[in-house]
Amino acid sequence: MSPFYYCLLIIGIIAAILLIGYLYWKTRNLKRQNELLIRQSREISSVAFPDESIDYKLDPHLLKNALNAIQSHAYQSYHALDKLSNVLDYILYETDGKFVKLKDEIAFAQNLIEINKLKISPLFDLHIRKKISPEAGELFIAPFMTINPIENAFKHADVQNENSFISVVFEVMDDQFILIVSNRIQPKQFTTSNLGGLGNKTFAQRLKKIYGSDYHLNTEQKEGIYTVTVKIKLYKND
Amino acid sequence: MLKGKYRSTFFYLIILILGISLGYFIVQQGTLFEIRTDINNQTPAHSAWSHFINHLKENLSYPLAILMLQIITIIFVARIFGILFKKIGQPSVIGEIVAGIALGPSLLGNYFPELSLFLFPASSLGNLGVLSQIGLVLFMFVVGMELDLKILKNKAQDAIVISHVSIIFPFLLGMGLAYVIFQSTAPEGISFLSYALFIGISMSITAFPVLARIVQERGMSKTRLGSIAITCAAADDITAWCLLAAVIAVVKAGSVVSAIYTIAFAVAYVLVMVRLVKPFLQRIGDLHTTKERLGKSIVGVFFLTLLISSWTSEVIGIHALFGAFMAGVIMPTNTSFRSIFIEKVEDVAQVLLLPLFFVYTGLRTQIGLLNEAEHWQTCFWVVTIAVVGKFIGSALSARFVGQNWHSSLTIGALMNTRGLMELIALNIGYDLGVLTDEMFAILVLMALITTFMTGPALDLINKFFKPEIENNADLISKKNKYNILISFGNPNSGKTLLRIANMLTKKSQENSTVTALHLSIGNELNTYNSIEYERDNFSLLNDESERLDQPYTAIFRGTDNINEDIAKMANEEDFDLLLTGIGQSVYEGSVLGSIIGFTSKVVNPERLLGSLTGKENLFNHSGFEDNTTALLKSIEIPCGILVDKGLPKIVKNILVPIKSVSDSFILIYVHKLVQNSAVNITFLDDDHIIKNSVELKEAIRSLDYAAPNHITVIDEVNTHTIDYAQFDIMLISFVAWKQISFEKEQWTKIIPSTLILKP
Repeated sequence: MSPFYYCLLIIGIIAAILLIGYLYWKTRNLKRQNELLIRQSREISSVAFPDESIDYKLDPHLLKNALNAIQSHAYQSYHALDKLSNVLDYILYETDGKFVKLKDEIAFAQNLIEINKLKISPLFDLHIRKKISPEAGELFIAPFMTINPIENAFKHADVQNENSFISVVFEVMDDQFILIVSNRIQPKQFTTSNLGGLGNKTFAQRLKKIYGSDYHLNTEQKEGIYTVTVKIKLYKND
Repeated sequence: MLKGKYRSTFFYLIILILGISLGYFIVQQGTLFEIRTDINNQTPAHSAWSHFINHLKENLSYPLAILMLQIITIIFVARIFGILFKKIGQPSVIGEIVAGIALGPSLLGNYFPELSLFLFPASSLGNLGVLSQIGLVLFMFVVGMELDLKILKNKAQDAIVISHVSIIFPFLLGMGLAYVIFQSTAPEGISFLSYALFIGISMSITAFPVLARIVQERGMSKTRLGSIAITCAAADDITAWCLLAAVIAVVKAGSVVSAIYTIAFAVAYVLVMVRLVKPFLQRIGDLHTTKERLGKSIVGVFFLTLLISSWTSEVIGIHALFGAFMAGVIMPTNTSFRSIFIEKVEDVAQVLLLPLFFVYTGLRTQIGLLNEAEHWQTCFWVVTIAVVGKFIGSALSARFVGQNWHSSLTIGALMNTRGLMELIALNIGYDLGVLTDEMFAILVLMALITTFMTGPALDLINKFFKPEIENNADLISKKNKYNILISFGNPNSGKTLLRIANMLTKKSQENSTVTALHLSIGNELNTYNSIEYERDNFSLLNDESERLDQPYTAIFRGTDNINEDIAKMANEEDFDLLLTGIGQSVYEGSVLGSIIGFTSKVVNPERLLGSLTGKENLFNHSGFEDNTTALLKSIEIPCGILVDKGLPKIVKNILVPIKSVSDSFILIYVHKLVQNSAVNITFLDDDHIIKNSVELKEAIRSLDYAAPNHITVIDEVNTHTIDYAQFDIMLISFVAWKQISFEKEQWTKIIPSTLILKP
């Protein structure tokens, strides 16, 4: 070891000590400033919001979700209103006490089903089958023959039940219009015979009055499933 | 050192050159002898070409060449006529018979006499006759095998009554007719007894094979009615053939008394067959039930049985065909054995040899002889009595044993089918000299007309009489359910389709039904192998059905036009969705694929017409085989076509690309899937269709409210960058599928299994 290196080492150590001292002083300053700033910010914030746990700022997501829900309902309502307007058109302008084309009556029934859909979840098991040839659609039927069974199905369907369903089948066989509507009903309805209500009576009377013996109406209840079958002779002209 | 490949080539060339030069040298040396032996080695006056032509002419008139040419012509014409008659809804047998008559003197001989003489010279008829007889022997063997005597044992009571009444009734009527026309139509030197018996028997024959085929084609084989008809026909067949044997014996001997010996021998022969030979064969059959174990020697034993039996019956004097039929009846009864054997014999017998018989018959049928009013009058009476006797006889007796009118008439119409059995009997009569040419022609016409009647008669009966509704309750309950029809060719795809049906209806099994339909081209089916086919085809589905706890109804049928039948079933019965595989698809969508798709059905007339009128591209761009496209056109209910690239046992993630507002119908199935299988649905909206359509957006939003966290909508992507591997299956509309697979050929390779839906 030469003396030159000793000098160098001592100078190095002194420089290091100085550097460490400087850095220590610098950090202490920063800490102080930081504490000061935190205190200031606390003072500022404590003026506007006394305590975070109590206060709540309105979250835009809530608004967005609410808006979505309302929009969705508005649309559903609009959709239903639109269908209702179709129904009213049909009642006002197309059925002046005369027979109507089967296709119009079916379109009316489908509007009715759309309106009733408001009540049920989109996942509800609603089954519709329409087997009507274009030629058969041109045959004639008395108006409003489809209302009663369909309305009843939506009225009495056990919507809460897991395996509940409504099924509507329209078909034409040998110039006979057949409508079969069936739905699961609540068990407690078995005892009460509210299934032969006033609506049903007038429906049967109306069928009899218009069609005499050219119709067939049958209701049956089996294993919690209520089925209405209507068969009506279709006419070639009104 | 040359490489091995070149070495052998080199060696081969050397040998070839050496061989040729050596041969040439020998010939050269050999010709030196000719000068001594004075051979006339002058070249012939005509050139080598005309020499060849002369040879060709000589060869053409050799018996074997003529026979080959005849067979070629016959098969060709018979097939064409068969197809034509199929098109108008008649069994193809009729077409083949008509083809035979057309090739005979009635048509070809009348209008193209030279051609007829060239094709069927009188000298060649012997060979044709022998071959067609061999064909008949094989065919009767098959018919005998197809008869299931077990059916007769089980529920024979009614059927036997019906069948016997339906034999006795026309038989007596026929004898009455013979009494009236004996003087005018019988050939010289035939006793009245022979004649009357023969006319009687020809009135009372039913063609079991044709009837069985009609029953199968109409899908009646599983119904009570169909099985009654089959049983009746079987009983009828056996009885009629025994009677025919007796009649032949009587005709040959000339009187009943002298026929006693023949009949006694025949009875003894039948007893020996049933009591001694049958158990022996049964034992062999039990030992060798599988195809592998059915060795040549075993087959040899059975063919020997057939031939010995035919020969015996021929020698006794009751025609070889009866022996062949008996041999068929006593074959071992286990199903698999019979079906193997039937398959072995049937094709050769039916496709190759039977048309020869029809033509052989046709060559003898001279409709031109019926040139007097009197003949046509006789013809009218024969047809009338045949129909009245058989149709009315069977129908009344069926009604008597307690069938309703619809069933009775159907049985009557079916029993009136005489088809080729009648022709066989007529030929025997003609050979025995019981029938004159005119009478033969008349009776052939009768056989044709009565067979021809069957289809239309059945249609009329179905139109005017209500069929008996079997299991009424099921029909009513099916009406209001969601009914899925699965149509599959390959059992594996059937399994997958059942899985999809289960995904759609898992939780609502009470209000839905699944029906699986497997159609198979009918001409290859008979009572035996159809049972087997059914078992083979549905075993996978049954396993899957148990695993999923998904009950289904199996329907198995023979058909000639698969698409037509599927469409008919889907459209006419209460189905809401048809699920089917993509068929022999070329789902690469490549140019080669479309060419293959095009060539595989190049002779499809509808397609050709479509391309000529510009309605269709000649090249198939839908990415389906033509079959599927044709099917889609004729289906009126919604359907789903599966492109199967393997479907996991539990499907979780589903991709649904939306390409236009009209794709919204897919939501119906999305609802069902979410509700029944709780899957996650990802809508792919790269064209912003959902974003811009209020209706769609709201529909999806309301679905999202009903089933939170199951619905995702992705937009802002390119179809290329999406990771298809994370999805188990894709649902897409048919229109979108066509559009995308047409635009991007690579796309069809990367997508997961896909269900293409059509509303």
